[in-house]
Amino acid sequence: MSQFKRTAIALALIALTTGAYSVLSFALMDNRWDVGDINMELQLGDAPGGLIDGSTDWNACANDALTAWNNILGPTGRSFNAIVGSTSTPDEPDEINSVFFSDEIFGTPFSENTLAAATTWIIVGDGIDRRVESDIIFNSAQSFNCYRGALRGLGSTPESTGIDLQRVAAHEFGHTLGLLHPDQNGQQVTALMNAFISDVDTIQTDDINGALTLYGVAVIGIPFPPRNEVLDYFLTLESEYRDTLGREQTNQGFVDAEGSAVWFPEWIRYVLNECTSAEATERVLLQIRGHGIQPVCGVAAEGTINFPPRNESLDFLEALDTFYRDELSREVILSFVNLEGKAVWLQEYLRYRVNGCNNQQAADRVFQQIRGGGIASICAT
Amino acid sequence: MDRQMRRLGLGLCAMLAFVHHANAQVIPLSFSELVDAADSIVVAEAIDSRSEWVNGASSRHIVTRMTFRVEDTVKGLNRVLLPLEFLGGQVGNMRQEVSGVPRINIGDRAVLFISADRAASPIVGLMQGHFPINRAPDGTDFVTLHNRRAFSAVAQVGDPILVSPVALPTMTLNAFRNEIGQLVR
Repeated sequence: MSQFKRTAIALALIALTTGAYSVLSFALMDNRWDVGDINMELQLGDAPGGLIDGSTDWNACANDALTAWNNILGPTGRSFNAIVGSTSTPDEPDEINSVFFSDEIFGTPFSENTLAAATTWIIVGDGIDRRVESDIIFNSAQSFNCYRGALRGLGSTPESTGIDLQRVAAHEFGHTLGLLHPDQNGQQVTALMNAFISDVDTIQTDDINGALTLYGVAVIGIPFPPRNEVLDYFLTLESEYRDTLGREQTNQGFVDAEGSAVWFPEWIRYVLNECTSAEATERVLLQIRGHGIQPVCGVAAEGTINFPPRNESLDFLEALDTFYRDELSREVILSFVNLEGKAVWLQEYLRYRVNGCNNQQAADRVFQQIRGGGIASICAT
Repeated sequence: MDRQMRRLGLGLCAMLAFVHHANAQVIPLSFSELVDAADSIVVAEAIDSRSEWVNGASSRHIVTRMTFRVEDTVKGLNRVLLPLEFLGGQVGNMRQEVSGVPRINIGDRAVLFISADRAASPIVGLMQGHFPINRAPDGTDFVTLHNRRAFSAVAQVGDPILVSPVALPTMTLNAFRNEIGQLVR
């Protein structure tokens, strides 16, 4: 099999799992707002029939969602600034963030089951792309109200009191910040940022961690890193074994670097979500066979990150190797790192990453360990 | 070098470069609701994608026009090529991301539930009527939910199983097609 064909299949396997950015927790866009206020022009207007929670109008209902975000955004250097009473006509792109009701998205109709949409403009450049405008349009064809607690009904059926606008607003403002849907990125977490409207009515820990991480604040329990970063780390580990440890490229295996970078974190994700080693292995192999992202075995308690014993990690890598050889018919690949080294140092890298270290910090700590420097401190406090 | 493999590789590289932007909060649709709402349902592969500026009545925005090669029509008119337009995309250094609109990349195969009504996304339920197809090493085609989760029965569409003590083999394309066919009849 040609090198290109191998690479294409490896990429296919990566893509099969998810269009994901992270695999454990919240999902982020690759762009941010500049430091400072994010002005939001609230133009939602009056609520003639009154609102269940006593909010004076729709703007007040939505403004509470902005306040909720501001309560956690402090360390990021960004905050929402609500501007009420603007009479400017919403437009795009005009670098004004408008929040309003409409039956269309600047001329394009909503799909009927959509509650609201965020349309965001981004200037693409070197490094982190810049977010410059984010308009939030609530679908005026939907029936809304403002209340806490369980959803009281969907749509505009006679028995419905309407959907709580505040939780929808908080969700859309999360998109304004740059958060994606965790449940559309291979994750099972309680989050306001999940795609489907639910009884979750306030910003959750996962949403908070997402926003803080997006803007560079280290938190414990951050998601597994983007796979390109795991791959970069893995390739650097090869160089470390070759250049620093003087190892020969004699370790035979069948899994390429891309495969290791994708499937080992995926296996860890299942284990951290209460699958046994064998259950996690079964689910990863099903994914590789095209069966999609599997359910997890349970929901770990918040703040619980129990990494598996390293012998189990090694067992998984051996099973993966066998699968690549027997079912994918891969040819032998020679590596500077033996399987034990991969099991130990990939896991150690991921441990640092989920404890607040960025890619460079985690890699530096692992290489310090490899060079005999001992176990380093984690990055989050 | 095999041209098809090169195209697959490039397509997948492009896929990896994107985060799946589907950001609106939506009301989940059941399988039967998806089938009912669809004007056409096809098995198709994305073969072309172009983004461009469009001047509307009161604003300017970006649309992405995609062309799909239809492999199989399960509902609606038979056709060979299917053009679809999605709100959002990137032109030069300006990118417009519109919540709820799926990004489908060249080379992707999927079962698509399509609405004829003009909307930000032509997919029924924004992204919910998009069922990506995975080809297994033995050549079997499987389908997943729009978020690439497994589903073993159509009852899980709109209500996916997130936690399970047992693994969940997903539906084959053939089985899913048969389920659609039963409702279309």
